[in-house]
Amino acid sequence: MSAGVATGSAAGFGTGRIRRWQGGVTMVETASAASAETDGDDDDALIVRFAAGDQSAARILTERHLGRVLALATRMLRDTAEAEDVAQEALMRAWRNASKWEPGRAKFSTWLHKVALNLCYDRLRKRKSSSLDEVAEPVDDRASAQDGMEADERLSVLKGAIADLPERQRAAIQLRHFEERGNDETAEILGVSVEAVESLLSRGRRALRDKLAGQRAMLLEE
Amino acid sequence: MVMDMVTTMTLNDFEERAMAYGARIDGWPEEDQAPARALMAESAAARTALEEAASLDAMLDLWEGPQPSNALLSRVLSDAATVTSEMPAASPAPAPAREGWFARLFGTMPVFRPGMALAACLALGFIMGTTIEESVIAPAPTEMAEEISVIDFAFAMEDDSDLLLGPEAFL
Repeated sequence: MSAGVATGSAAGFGTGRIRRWQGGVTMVETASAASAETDGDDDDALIVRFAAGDQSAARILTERHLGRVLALATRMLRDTAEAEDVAQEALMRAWRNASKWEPGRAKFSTWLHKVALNLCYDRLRKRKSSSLDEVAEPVDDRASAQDGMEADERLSVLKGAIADLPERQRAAIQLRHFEERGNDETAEILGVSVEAVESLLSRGRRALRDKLAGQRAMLLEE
Repeated sequence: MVMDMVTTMTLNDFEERAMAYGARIDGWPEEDQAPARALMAESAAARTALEEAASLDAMLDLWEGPQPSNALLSRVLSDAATVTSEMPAASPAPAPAREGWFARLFGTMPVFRPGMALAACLALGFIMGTTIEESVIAPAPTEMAEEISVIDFAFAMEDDSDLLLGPEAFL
């Protein structure tokens, strides 16, 4: 998706400072007084406010959810540019459907993750159908540039092991381990039963354990 | 006697939960947490399984989530602004219906309208009834004289073939 001209106010982000980034969760300080007054609104109230034309509601929703959606897409696709496109598209769908949102019917965060995950599945399918199997997995250049050689090697091993997992096992680990979502919500996002979530997690983590067994000392610097 | 409702957990179940959910027992299904802690207190094998799960957790945690770039944030907010600008403007409130003379005179409360109409009909009927009765039964002498003179005039003109008189001639 093309970026387009940024006509919306990003001042809140521009003046803000990201204090902590861990496991896909971000907290952004902003200087906006309006933000401080309205941050307490739940997602349902915010999406209704946005549908009524309130841009500050869109900013708060973006602050809350963009980081997690981006993390989900990055771990699923292992490509920063594609993950950003997915995150942007997922939120675009939220804006477009805001007027149809029925408060209380579903959790906004669950809905948004479900949309993002389906977009990831679509892209993964396209990769396969484009006969890209022989092409090496895209590598996150940004991460490579930032990390040192040793850390980069460790990360590359881990990313490779996760990328080798079947899609749904990968998604289940993302939602349960990295986002610490409950079984019910994970099941809803994945569109499977709670029992299936446990099975996906168990098989996925066991496969990772076996795959990473040889690199354990290197990964954990033991 | 109060029964101890904490169910027991087998080592195999414990290992399965540790493999699926990791080493943080707080994140396990709620009903499994107490039995798991009870088993861990007495089973070295359970503690080993938990340490193994903790190692895998630590390896996974090496992959921190990316930080959204300012460019991405701007794009998302730009999308939101675009969608807002494309939203149909709120339809204007319908203009209040013009009040008729009746409403201006007697108000617009619907509950009073039938009553007002009935009263007006009764008043009009009374006035019409009394005046028509008087004119039919006992026409005033002056009115009779006028009527006769008009009829006379009409007959007087009867021979004039160019002149047609309609009923309005008697009004």
